[in-house]
Amino acid sequence: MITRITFLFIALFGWCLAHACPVSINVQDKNGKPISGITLLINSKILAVSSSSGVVQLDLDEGNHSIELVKDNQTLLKEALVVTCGQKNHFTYHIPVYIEKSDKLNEVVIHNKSIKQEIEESPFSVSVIDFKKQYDKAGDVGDYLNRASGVKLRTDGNIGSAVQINLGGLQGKAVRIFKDGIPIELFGHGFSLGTIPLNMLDRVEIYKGVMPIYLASDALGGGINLVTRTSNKNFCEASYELVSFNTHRATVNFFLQNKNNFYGGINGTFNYSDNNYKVNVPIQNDAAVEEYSDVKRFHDMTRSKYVEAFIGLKDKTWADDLRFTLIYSDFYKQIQNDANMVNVYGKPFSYETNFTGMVHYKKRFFDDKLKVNLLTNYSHFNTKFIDTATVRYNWKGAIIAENMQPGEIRAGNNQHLHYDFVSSRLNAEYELSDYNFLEFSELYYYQRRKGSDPLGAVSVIENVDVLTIPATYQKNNLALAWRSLWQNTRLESILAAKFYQYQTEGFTTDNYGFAWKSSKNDQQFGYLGALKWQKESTLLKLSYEYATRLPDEFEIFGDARMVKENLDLNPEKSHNVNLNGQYTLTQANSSVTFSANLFYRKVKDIIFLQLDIPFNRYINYEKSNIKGLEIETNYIVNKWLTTGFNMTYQDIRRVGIEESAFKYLNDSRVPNIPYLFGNLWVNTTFTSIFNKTDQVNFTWNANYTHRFFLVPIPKSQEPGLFEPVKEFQTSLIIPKDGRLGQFSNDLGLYYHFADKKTTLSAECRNVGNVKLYDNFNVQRPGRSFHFKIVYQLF
Amino acid sequence: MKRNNSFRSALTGLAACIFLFSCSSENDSKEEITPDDTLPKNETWVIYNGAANWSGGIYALKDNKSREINLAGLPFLQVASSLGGRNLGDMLYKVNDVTNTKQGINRMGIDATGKIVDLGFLPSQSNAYETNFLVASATEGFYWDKVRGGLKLQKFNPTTMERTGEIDFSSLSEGQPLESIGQLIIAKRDDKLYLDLLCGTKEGNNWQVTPPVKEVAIAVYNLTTNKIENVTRIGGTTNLGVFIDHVLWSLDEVTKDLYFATVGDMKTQPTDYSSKILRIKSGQTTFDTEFELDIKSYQFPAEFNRLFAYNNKIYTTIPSRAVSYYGGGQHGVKYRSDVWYWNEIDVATKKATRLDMPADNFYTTQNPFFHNGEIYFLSNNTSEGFSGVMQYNPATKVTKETFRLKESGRIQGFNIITN
Repeated sequence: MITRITFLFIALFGWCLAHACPVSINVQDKNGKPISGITLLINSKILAVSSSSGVVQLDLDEGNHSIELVKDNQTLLKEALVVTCGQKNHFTYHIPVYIEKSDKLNEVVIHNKSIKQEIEESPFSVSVIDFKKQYDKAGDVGDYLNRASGVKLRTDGNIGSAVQINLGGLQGKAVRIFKDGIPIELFGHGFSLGTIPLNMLDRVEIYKGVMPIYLASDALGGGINLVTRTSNKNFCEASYELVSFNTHRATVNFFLQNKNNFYGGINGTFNYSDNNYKVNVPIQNDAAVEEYSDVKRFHDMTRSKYVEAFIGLKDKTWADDLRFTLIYSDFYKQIQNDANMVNVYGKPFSYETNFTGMVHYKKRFFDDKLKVNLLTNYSHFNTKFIDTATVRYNWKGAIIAENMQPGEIRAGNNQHLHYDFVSSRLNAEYELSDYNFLEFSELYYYQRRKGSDPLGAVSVIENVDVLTIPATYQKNNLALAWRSLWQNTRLESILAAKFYQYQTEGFTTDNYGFAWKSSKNDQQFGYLGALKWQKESTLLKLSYEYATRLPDEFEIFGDARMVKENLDLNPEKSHNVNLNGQYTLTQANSSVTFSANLFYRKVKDIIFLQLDIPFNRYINYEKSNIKGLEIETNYIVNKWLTTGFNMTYQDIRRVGIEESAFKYLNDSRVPNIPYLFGNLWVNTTFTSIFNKTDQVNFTWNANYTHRFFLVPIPKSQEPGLFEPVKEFQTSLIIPKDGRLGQFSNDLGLYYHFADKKTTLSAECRNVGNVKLYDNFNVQRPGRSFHFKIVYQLF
Repeated sequence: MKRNNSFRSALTGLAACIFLFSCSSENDSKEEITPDDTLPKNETWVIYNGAANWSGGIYALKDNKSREINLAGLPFLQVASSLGGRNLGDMLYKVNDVTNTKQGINRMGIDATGKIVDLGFLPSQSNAYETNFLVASATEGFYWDKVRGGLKLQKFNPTTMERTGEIDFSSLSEGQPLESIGQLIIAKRDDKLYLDLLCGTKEGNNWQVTPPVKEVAIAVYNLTTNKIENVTRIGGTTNLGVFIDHVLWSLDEVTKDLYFATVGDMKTQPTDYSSKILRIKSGQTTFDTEFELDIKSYQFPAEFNRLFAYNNKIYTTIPSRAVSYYGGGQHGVKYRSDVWYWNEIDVATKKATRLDMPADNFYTTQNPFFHNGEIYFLSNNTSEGFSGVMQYNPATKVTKETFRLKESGRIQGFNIITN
């Protein structure tokens, strides 16, 4: 496979065709109807005449141009046009009052669709969070994802802790996360939802249930693509954030380009936190009675670094963009407690270093009819997981026992692993006609793991450390789609077929302690269809995918220690349906946008960790149906005030239980997943405070998560949505303190200096110091203060 | 404002919502239990049911007992692991708290309205699944907490759920990396404690301790003189007990003989150190070298994994085929099959007689118990769709079904409380 991709890459590399920076111009009347016969003058030179579809395709150098639209020797419009290579240069010019053969022209309105708009107007159920105007905000990308409609992030604590995403009722491995289309795990924990500040990203694309072709992947419930910040002009920006709990964050983004379109830059971030926020925990006295007190966490320090340096060439005859990137990241994390914040540890830690090389090539061929985008990377990871302490701690940080068996967490680990990853993504789109396109995408992924753990799984007979036996996992996902535009682009359709294949090889052990290699492979077909209809202020979408998630190497082989292998594991499969609607009411300076998404998932063969003693194992066990509704309203009241809210309800229920003993759980809610949550926000903007061009923003964000249960409850005894639990006694509820839900508030104040280079920010998160839990019993930080400065050097 | 006629769209959306969230066609109404008047009125049945992930509820049934019980609609105490079945009078005790995240001993009871309620918790300092315990009386209990000392037995008050002290067995140390007293066996007969003494090593991926000498040892402690009376050892087998919430000892209330089960090394299942049932006779503090039941006589490879003794009879399960807990392929599945048949073994003749009741699949671990002339057995049988309790009269040899659960999960524990 690697050979095949290398060959393709070399072939494309040498394919030197037209030099171009493609631009698409649409000329329409106020109702969106195309206008033909309009002459386009660029820099006063006649270049083209609009076709019957109102579209003009041409190539322009990057930079500033003037555009003039002329009809019958009458200039309808003359404007500046900025072309940015590497981005979609699609410009739409609306001429509200256009009268054939008339010399009257009342108004010209220019709309240049942002990438966010373009993606959100695709037939898929997708939201885009654009960070371009958010770089003054504190925190990490996870904080902002959590405010998006239909998205619920669950963390185990503060910076560096594990983050799990729930999207459309599915979570964990069902939701794939990418960085620029490459699986995010290849970039290490230094680049994760829990560590990446906003300043590192351009935007986040959230695909719900149905994955776009260009992200061909085995995602059961959708995916999230983090798009790295980039630029087309020279700039350098640095930020520093000081936060409670001795937390420090810094970023730097640097980009330079010369006249020959040779460019280079650096994106980097550094995080450090003691994460020593207070938690209310039990401490035993001599009579083994638990006394609760507030103590600071004492062994949760996290430090991460992430630096990517890149060089590249743009707008050459042989490449629209060719970029080479080198990445270094590391991640150190102390481990304070178990997954339920019951057991406390004082010594274990994990450390990871990651080296990645990446090549990104983009080119258009055949008069821009064929667009090719190839991204290949190789990563090498070294990881350590050290848990060898022979002492035991209580929550006060005091040693309560000595000379114990090594290992506070389990039976000790001195684990060193080395990973090699290769990933490659090829996207190609061919324009069959103005209204028909073929799209192809392939994601190839290979992983090899080798290591050792003298305290880990050792086969009894041969005395082999099973981690010394290499384990490999390879998967290949292909997608082929036909995209069509109808009714003058008002209607868009996509039909696609997908193919998933994987193979893995690893160790396992039998009851006699023999370790031997075994392998597993499987393949699966999938398909999708999507429709979009848009007219003026109304947008409607319908999408469907038969989605697949392949089991990973860990689920198949386990760790030979806590989790046993299961070579009979099958892929998870789901029928995903989305119906989206959006409607906008507009007035001069205000607008209200209503959007809603109805979704349905029918999932089978859910991979479930069957707990047992002494080993657990993954099995295909459950089926579930998910019905959900997301609504969101954004209200731009005037130019200084915006507000809005979103709400998600997802009814996730077990179905199809055949074993008679467990039929009582048919139609019961799948436990341990939030099912009602939402956000509310108000943003204000005031200008000319101390200076004519300075600006102050004030934001208020509130988040609500309704209570949810940890273990299943028969539907007949499920309490009403807002009713107390009456029919049974339970403390297996989140939160378990009797609240119906968790409500938290964040406040932010941002001052943009008049020089437009400096921003000062102050935020208070969890203003009410409310006890917050994403996972059972795991306390999240209380009130925290964030101070941030962003300075743009040039 | 520019307005569009969106009424039709709104109606369509509303209709879609109604369709999506409409009630299931299944009948959600709770099924009423028809009480069986032939069942004793003065008994409360405590039933522990569980789902595939072992979570479930603890229910108390008094006036609504029946032969077929649908637990839907009945009040319960929700627990993350419902393996249970130990009681002292009307008090219930189980390993770990209701969330199954805190290691220790949980105490539950029945409130005035007849519901099971959580009444207290004694935490272990250890974070591992290893808190074995014994409730000897309302004020006398013992447990093992490795962090407080592997060779120390902790004492607690089962009413106040407070630790009251410890008994130090450090003098029994053999200098091994892992040493414990009472980790899997804490038995009491008269004024003496019988505790497993386990010294050895454990490989990283092993769950059981491997002793340097292939034998088992019981330390006998006199609670009156507060002295260790004896450490009795016997070879030919290893590893007394199996799980902490599943004791493998039994006191024959008729003969006062004390029986213990060893499981051997469940990973390698060696033929020369196989699973056995051993005995310390009434009044003795040493193993009865004249007696042993060897699993090889009945099935092999396999283990004795349940134990109840009554009137010179041993009640245990014997699988219908060879089994391995650690077996390759899908771990646990083959072991937890409907192969565990309840048997009565005569201690004199060692002859096993299969009892007429559904084979069990070892998803419950509770031992049989004697109540009012009958011995009660728990069984879950997937192929027969049976989860319930059988009773056997050792005098008349008659077996009958006490009750079965109807679509109410696996049975994972059962107690009878006489009011």
